[in-house]
Amino acid sequence: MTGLLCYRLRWHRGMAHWVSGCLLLLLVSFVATLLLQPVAGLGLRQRLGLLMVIILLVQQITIWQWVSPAYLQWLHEASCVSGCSDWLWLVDLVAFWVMWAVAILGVLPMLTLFYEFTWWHGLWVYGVWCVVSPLLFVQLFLLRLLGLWMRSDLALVWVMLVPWVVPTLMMVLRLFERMLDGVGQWSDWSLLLGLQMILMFIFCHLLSGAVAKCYHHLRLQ
Amino acid sequence: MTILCRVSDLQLCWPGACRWNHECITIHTEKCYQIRGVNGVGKSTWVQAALGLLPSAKSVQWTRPVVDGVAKKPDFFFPLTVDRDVSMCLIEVIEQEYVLREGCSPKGRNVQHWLESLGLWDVRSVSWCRLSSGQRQLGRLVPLLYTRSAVWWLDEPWVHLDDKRKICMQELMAQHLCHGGAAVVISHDSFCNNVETMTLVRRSM
Repeated sequence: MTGLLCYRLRWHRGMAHWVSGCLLLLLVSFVATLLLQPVAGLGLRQRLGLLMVIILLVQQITIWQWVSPAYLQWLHEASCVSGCSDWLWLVDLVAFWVMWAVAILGVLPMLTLFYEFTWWHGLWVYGVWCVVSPLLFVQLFLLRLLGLWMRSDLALVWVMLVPWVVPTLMMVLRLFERMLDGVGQWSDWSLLLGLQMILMFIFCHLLSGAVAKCYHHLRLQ
Repeated sequence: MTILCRVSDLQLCWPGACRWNHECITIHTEKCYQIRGVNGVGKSTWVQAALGLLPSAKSVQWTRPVVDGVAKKPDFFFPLTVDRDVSMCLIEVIEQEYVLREGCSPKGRNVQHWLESLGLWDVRSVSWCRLSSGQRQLGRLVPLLYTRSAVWWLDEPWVHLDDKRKICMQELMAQHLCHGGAAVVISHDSFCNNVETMTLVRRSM
């Protein structure tokens, strides 16, 4: 499994989705901070929220670029021949997450500059992203797979995504509040982590079944 | 000759999917089977249904053979479809597929031997997306050099190959048959004398 993860990391590095994603993240952040001048006029909460939303949008675009019909075909066929079987997509998603975790850490200084955060706030956003992003990636991956064979894919996808993202967003908002108030946050972190793990469990099982079904739809529609 | 697999009246379990008229096919050791049919009849779909990649009626049975004392894997082999836009270099694609199929990393000298025998060693560091169609096709067939699967299912394996490589791959297949394997090949061309042909015809829905 580790060997395969190394190859999938190389694959993601070669495809350079993360490079275009990072550039897009910086570009959109730069434009947003220009349009919303002066950024200092925005509250810290608003700036943190803006950054999280921009990261979400950019990662959705990156996953849309990555998961193509040809990729789905490879994924299903490779699942059928590999010992990883139904969990091959998980290896790939872990590799994708690792690439993004390193990439975001790399652009964090620029982001803190754009949004006028302190280093502490930047690292705090990174920590929240690390906890929230695995589930988000799984959700986006699932929706992209469904979108490959549905007609009004993007609209449907957002309608389906929003209800599942709301609990996480509420939790993150609560964490923001606690952080700003300087109140102990450990219970909220634990709650957020627990919620992510439960939803992750549900979505992973959904996705395992969805890969084969989406492949069938794609081939036989 | 030992029976390796039997496919009978294969049907897709999918609304509006195509169905075929054909005889039952029983795959024996040391035999090659050619699947023919006009373009669009669903030859690739038939093979994918037979391999369980598509939802099909349970009409494919596999046996577990031991041929000439050599333990053959009872399953099948088929080449993976690698996205033509993949930017990994050839050797990485080959190694990755080995890890997928065998569950461990290949030895460096083995990879070198495989690539040299197919004339791909010089382009080992070239991105997959920059290879010619023929080189990509050869790259997809590299696992044939190490697989121990009893039945090879190949979808137009000779397409894009030059005559030299075509003969090389056909010799490899002949060797596989001699060692007690079998092959099911989708092809429009005749490539071997001792081949049993099955023609697919679309059945009206």
